[in-house]
Amino acid sequence: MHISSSRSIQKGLVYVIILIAILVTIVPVLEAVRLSLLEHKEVFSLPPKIPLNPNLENYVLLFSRYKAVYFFKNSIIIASIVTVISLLAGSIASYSLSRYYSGKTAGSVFFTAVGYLLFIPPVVTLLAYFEIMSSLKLIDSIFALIIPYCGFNVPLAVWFLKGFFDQFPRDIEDSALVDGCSRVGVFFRIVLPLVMPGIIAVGILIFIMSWNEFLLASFLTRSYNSQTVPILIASFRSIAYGVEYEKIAAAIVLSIMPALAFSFFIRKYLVRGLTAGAVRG
Amino acid sequence: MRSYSPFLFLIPAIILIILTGLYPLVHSLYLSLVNIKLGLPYKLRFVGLHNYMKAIMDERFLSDLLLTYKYAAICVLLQLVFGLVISLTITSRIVSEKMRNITLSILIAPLLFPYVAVGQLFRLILSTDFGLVNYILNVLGMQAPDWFGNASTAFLSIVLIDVWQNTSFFVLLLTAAILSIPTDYYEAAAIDGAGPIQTFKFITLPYIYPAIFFAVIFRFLGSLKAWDYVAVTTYGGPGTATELISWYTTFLAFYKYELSYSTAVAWIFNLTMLVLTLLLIRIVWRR
Amino acid sequence: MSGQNKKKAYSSMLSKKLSRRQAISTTAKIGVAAVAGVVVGSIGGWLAGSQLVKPATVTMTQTIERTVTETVTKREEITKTITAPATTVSTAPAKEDPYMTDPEGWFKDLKGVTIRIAEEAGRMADAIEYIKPDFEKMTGAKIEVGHFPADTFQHEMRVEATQRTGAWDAFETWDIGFFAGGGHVIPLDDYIKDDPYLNFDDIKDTIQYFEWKGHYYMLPYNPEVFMVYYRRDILEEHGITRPPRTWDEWLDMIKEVHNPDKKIYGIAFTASRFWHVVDSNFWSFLWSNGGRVINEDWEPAFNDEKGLEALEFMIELAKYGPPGIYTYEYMDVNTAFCQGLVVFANQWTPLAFHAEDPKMSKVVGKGGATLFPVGPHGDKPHSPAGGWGHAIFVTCDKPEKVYKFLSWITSPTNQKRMIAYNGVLPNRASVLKDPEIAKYAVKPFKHEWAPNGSYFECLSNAFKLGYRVVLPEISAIVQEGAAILSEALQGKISAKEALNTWEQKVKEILKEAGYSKATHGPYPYY
Repeated sequence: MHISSSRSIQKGLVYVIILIAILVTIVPVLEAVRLSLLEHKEVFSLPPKIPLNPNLENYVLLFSRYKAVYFFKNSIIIASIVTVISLLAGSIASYSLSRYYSGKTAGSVFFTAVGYLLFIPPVVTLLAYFEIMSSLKLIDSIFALIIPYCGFNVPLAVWFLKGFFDQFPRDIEDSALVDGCSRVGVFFRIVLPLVMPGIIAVGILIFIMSWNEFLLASFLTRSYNSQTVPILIASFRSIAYGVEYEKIAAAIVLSIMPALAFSFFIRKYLVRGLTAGAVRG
Repeated sequence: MRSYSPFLFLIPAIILIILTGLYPLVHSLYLSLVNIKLGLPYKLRFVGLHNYMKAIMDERFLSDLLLTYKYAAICVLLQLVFGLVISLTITSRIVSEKMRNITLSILIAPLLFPYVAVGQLFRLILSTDFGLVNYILNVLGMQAPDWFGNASTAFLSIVLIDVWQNTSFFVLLLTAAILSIPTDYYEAAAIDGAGPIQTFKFITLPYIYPAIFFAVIFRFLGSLKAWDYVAVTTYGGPGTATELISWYTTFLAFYKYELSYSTAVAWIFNLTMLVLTLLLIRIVWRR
Repeated sequence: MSGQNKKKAYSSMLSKKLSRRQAISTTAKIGVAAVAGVVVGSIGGWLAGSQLVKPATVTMTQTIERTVTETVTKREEITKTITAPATTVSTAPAKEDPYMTDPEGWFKDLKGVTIRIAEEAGRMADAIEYIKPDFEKMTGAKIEVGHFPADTFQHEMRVEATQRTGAWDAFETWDIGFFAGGGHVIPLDDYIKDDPYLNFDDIKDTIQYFEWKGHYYMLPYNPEVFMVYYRRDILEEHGITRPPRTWDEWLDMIKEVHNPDKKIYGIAFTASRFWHVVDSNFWSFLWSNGGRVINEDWEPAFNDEKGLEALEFMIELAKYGPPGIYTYEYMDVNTAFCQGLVVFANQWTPLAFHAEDPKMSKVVGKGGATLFPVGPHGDKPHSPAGGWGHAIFVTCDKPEKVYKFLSWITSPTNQKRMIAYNGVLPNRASVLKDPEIAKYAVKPFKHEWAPNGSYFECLSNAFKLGYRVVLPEISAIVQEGAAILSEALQGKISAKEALNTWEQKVKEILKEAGYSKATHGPYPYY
């Protein structure tokens, strides 16, 4: 009796917590969905208007007038390229650090120095990047953003993945080496596939951070060639049209769809990946 | 077995870092040691540590620094607590795997939205005259605060936005970590008669500690550098109540045109971040 | 973890190699789905959009009566009065406008030239996109318009100017002090003189705000002035039939109409840290009270009894605002007025059109405007004027060609088209006098500044009485003031203390910039 009532209390508590968490997370998103179906002057109406006749005008406008396709395309391309490059460079660097330089001072100095780059607020580097990019005539191309983002994210990849590699047992590698496999081969054919979940995990983080970045993107881009989604959203604050919350909301909703789909599929690998690196044996 | 590949493996990362990270750092260091103004006439002079001295003696900078650290600490603490509670809850045996997956997918959604969009959305939701929250509070007969207008609630508001968006990060990491613990450990503990608190303290916590550590450090740095939320909601708040350092540096650079001073401010902030984070690591990383 | 378990775990991970292929195939599936979705979405959007966003051809019945005076240096003065019979004219370019027919062949040398112009995304960029096809067709030039989000547009222009990138030929701005004072833009005097189709009197009132050290650096595009807007219908309900002339009258009216229970508040303005609290609001109250921001000796002059009265009046007024007034930034004032929340609003000119746009406003047809009421020490209403204008960067290699486009944008035909399209303001006196455009803006009471009840009369008078304070460092002064005044408005510090602190900071800024009467002459602005 005692056990079952405490179990039902536990059960109740668990469900209440989950409910609250979901509500708190979902209410702003639902609000975004509601706003995206309204007209500008209805956005501010109180009591809040529920769009009983959904009006998809905002979404249509996003694609037709604001050419949202270009912004999403640029964001996806930039984030993907940055993720791939950062993961590649970061993974082999942290593998090397973990296998050869772990005891040595050169290794730890490099590791700390690399980590230090995590501390820089992008604001500090803004002007330098602008100067570099304009002298290289790269402003308003996607490379103008890819290069700085790699600079910010390679340290992240190195730091995060080093934990994974530190745990990976060397016996498997050693046996492969003894069998005549080269170091490079060992890395790419044996180690990498098994650490893949962790790499996916940090890759998602890098992707998200590149997707979200606003400050550098607003200065290093000028047109549809390279402007990203945060700039699209910022352009809905204008002096004359006011803050077009309904269009911002529509852009938010559009950001959800691919991301949710992505997370549904990748979740399995995510879970496995995050554990292996973060947990010490 | 002497091969050059270990060093070769480091090279791409080194090149990327030097090209993309090092030059801007050096350039900004140079900027902080001269007296350059953005766009206004000036005579280039090497002023050495003058900007740094000026910053250290500037009351506003010091109070902003304190404010930023307060903000980051509160945000991370709240995110940790909420994240832990939520992940422990959804990984408990009471919750089925299907429900757990659905909940997890919903709960990590906030991470996917651009910061500026979330800032704008909350600006409307928390708007004193036109927002959902105050409307509901009024209907319930409660006092509806002036969220972004009152200095203390403005601070709370940006904390709220940060917590809403970034708790998902903790939930993600901690859930994954908890799920990796082999179930035999739990079974063994149950056989030995351990209660939930003991199970947590001796089994769960040690296992997920590295995950907690990484998440805390990462989000602490992230919140310290927060810029977008302030820039789209309060512009530094009533007075300077929400003037975070990152935003303050853009204020100095683009409104007061004091480019050199703003880079010096950023560098001092940088150094404090480095020192404090290393301290934090030393204290916390006992295992 | 024991070695045994480790081996087990890792061999099980090894066996999951299959799942890696699964992952790749899933990713591929997602990728294909995403691409397909985007393609479908964009086709659908394009199809739907091409229906929605076709600019409507509006037919207007107009009686055109225009007096065109051309003053050209080496020719006789020709005065023509053209009266055309009432015709149904579409907003396609009119045939009589010399800008459209180019009788002098002034635009001939623009064939094949690319002009790049940077605009703020939204209304102003959209208007240029709307009219540029006609220019391209007429001259064979190519116009590239850059759309920049409002928040970072000015910052970007400053960085571009400083770095001398040369990426843009022309851009729009309001900060003549920074760009002209910093030497980033070229003076346009000669081009204006040589402009065969421009009557200088037409833009005399609005271009006076774009003058620095005796030269004109910008051509007006969307001129603005700070005014007081009000709800005619609510004032009439309370028996008021003319707008306030003095601060006392204003406060009385506000108290009369302020009704929080019915959710109708007295006044809205930016009482937050947003910089309009200083540049616009405080400046208006100060100048209408006879005060000055900077005196002839290049020293701050706002910390006297006139400035104190101005600030204290602002603090008093804010108490009659909606509860959120301390968070209001520029757009919120518009929202408050257009949602019917407030009776008075201190705002720049776009509100006049915002309030009449059925898509944005719930108070269509109910708004009015007036110049600033005068304070106890003032005699005439003076408020900040200026607004947006186009300037040409020093890096531009073809400034005279770019100038031709800038001048064309402000032709009377284009101004009429733009205001019909999305409310970009005309700046030519001749267009402002045209009764046809009055319907796009709010309709004030008939009062001294608008004897015929036309908003544009009010606007013309406002331009004549406007003041400005031009200085490269004005942004720094305004931003520092905004942080300080926002605390004073909420009563955290006293008004006197606020002005003292602010004066101190302004003194530092001016001293560091090295201004003095001896080196720069007396300060010519307010």
